[in-house]
Amino acid sequence: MTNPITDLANSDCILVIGSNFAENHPIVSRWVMDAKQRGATIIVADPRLTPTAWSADIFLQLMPGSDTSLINAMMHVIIAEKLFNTEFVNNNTDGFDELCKLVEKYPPSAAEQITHIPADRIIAAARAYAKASAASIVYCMGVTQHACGTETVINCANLSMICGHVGRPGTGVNPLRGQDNVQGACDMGALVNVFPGYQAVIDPVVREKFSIAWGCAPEEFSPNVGLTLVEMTHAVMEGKMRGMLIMGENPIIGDPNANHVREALNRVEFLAVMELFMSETAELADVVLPAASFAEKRGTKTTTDRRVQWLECAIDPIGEARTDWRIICELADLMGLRDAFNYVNEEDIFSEIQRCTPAYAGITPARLKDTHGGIPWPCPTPGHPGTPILHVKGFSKPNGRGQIKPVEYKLPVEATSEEYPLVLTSGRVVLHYNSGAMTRRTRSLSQREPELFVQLNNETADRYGIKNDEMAIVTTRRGQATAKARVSRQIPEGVLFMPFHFEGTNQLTIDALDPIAKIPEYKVAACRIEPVPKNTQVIETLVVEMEGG
Amino acid sequence: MAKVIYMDLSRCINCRACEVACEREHAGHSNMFVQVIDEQYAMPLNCRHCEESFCTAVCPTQAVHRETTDAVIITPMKCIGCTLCTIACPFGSVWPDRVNRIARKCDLCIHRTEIGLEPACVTTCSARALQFGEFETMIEIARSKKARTVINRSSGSVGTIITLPVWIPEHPPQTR
Repeated sequence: MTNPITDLANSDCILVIGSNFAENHPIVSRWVMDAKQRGATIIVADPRLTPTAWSADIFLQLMPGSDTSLINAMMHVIIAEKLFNTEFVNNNTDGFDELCKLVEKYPPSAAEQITHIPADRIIAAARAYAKASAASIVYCMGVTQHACGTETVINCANLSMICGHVGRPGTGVNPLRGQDNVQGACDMGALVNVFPGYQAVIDPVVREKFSIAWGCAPEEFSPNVGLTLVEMTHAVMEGKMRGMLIMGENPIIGDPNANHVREALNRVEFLAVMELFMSETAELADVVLPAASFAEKRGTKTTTDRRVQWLECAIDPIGEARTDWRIICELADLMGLRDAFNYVNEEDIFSEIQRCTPAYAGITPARLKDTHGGIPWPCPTPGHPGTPILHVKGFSKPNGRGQIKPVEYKLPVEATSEEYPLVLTSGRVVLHYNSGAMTRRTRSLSQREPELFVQLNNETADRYGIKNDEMAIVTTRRGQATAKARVSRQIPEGVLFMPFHFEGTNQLTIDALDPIAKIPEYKVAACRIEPVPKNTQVIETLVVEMEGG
Repeated sequence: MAKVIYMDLSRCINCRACEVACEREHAGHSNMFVQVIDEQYAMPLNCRHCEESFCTAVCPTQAVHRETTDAVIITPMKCIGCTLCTIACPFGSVWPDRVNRIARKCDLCIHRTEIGLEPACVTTCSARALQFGEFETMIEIARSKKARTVINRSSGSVGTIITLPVWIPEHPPQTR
């Protein structure tokens, strides 16, 4: 996030696109509601009337995957009506003319055809966003989990730059990260192309720097970009990868095209899983290493708004469980790397982070422990107060100017067809967390949301003979899943929604990737739905009764 | 003066964190129920701790009684599980625990408020739809929120909001 979460309260207009924060980041609602009660306009763009959209002044119910078209149409209106910030565009950005040329092709009437949002609503949203004295964009996986995800994010930045809604309180482009320490994991280089602090592995200067920090030869680092999650499953199937160590991840539930993932994890020669519970993935492992839970770990977490915070553990690890870093150090020891992994405690590790990561250079464990609420990076020097709002004095390019990159609308990878006429989109529900390995084991959560469901509109249900609360079969080119039908008016005609916390949903999703970020297109798959044949239901009930009896 | 929970319905997002928090405080039994209406509005519903409560009136054993000025609570050992209180409650906030054969309801987290903490549902509420405090303070929040809504609707121009209610000239209030 360019701005702190709490800063949303200072916004006069919040454009929420592809985020259902009321269910996925409920705490964010606190400041959005504060802004609304102050009189801010809330615009929510989502295929479904989610609890986030309940509070919207302008609700843009768009078709999954049409975000770019919507944003282009908004910019078309803003440019046509001269609502953009001329001063900011001239002084701080490059590429505005190219953008003007491109968005000319996207009048709201054309976007209406693609997004299914009435043109007058797109115009109203564009005016509200551009005219506000401070407007913020909040986005999440609704825009990123597409084969064009990176481009849509670029387009969000374009919109905020042409209106000058950057670098001030109440403005910014604010992605909400999917888990509590995802920002921290990315900062630490848990990505395929960077060392800690987003320093590229393909850069020989960077490799030299880390060889000194880690006491090894620069040649020992691979100069190549590694494989991302989905690419790894493909590599296993192609025989290029033979062993895997999986930490805190449940790909059988969480990865797209899950049948293919299961096949790959079965085929891999050696699989070790570090887990809290015997998850669906851990069941396939040769070795399961018991990991420690959040309450048993200490160290830092970096939140979505870049705040580095120190956390102490509530209890020591129970039984044989160990914290992740201890497991890694012991594995390294067994591989003969004791000297390279001779950390004493969490403070010791953080000191190394501080030395290697420029944005963390001014943050010390002692300072963090004294700072309630943490320190937002970049914090380059010991006395630096941290940077709650980014781009106040300019952008990170050497000339300090923001680059506007026009983006064309692209169709989702999988188009609907006669055989698969419906659009399946996946997401989360408030009561479960990710693959559900923890929350499906928590009684108070699982009894409130016990099973996989498929949400669909009245008309869609009638057309395919689906009844509320009865089981239905959803089929895509990759698999089939049975789910309880939930007929709802929250979702538009022709679209189905399934939460991915339960086994089934990701057997249907497509593993097409965004070419840059390599994020899979979880949000759009072509599918069909049919009721479970009556006879099967009777047989299933009988089997359950017999097993139960 | 009694302390009460103020519910700002426009802020409730149906996250049900209050239900789960209540469950944690009360040995796995939640006395808070978030109701969703028309798939578009949510309302957290718990005991209103009525001034003249029907549940205490119908209880044959005085298991349901007013413990402090704030809270009406149930003493489980006195409860005979007749469920009369669950029928009497106009809000459906008293519910029969079929396993233990007693009635259950919100106790306003007396064990927490005694030591200066807020009820668990209030502490947990992520959207800050629930607030806890003196009745007068809470009613003040409600009033200022209402005033803010009117001002926002009139785009901040004060002149347009100070108007007499339309019924005054036609139906003047009856005087004695």
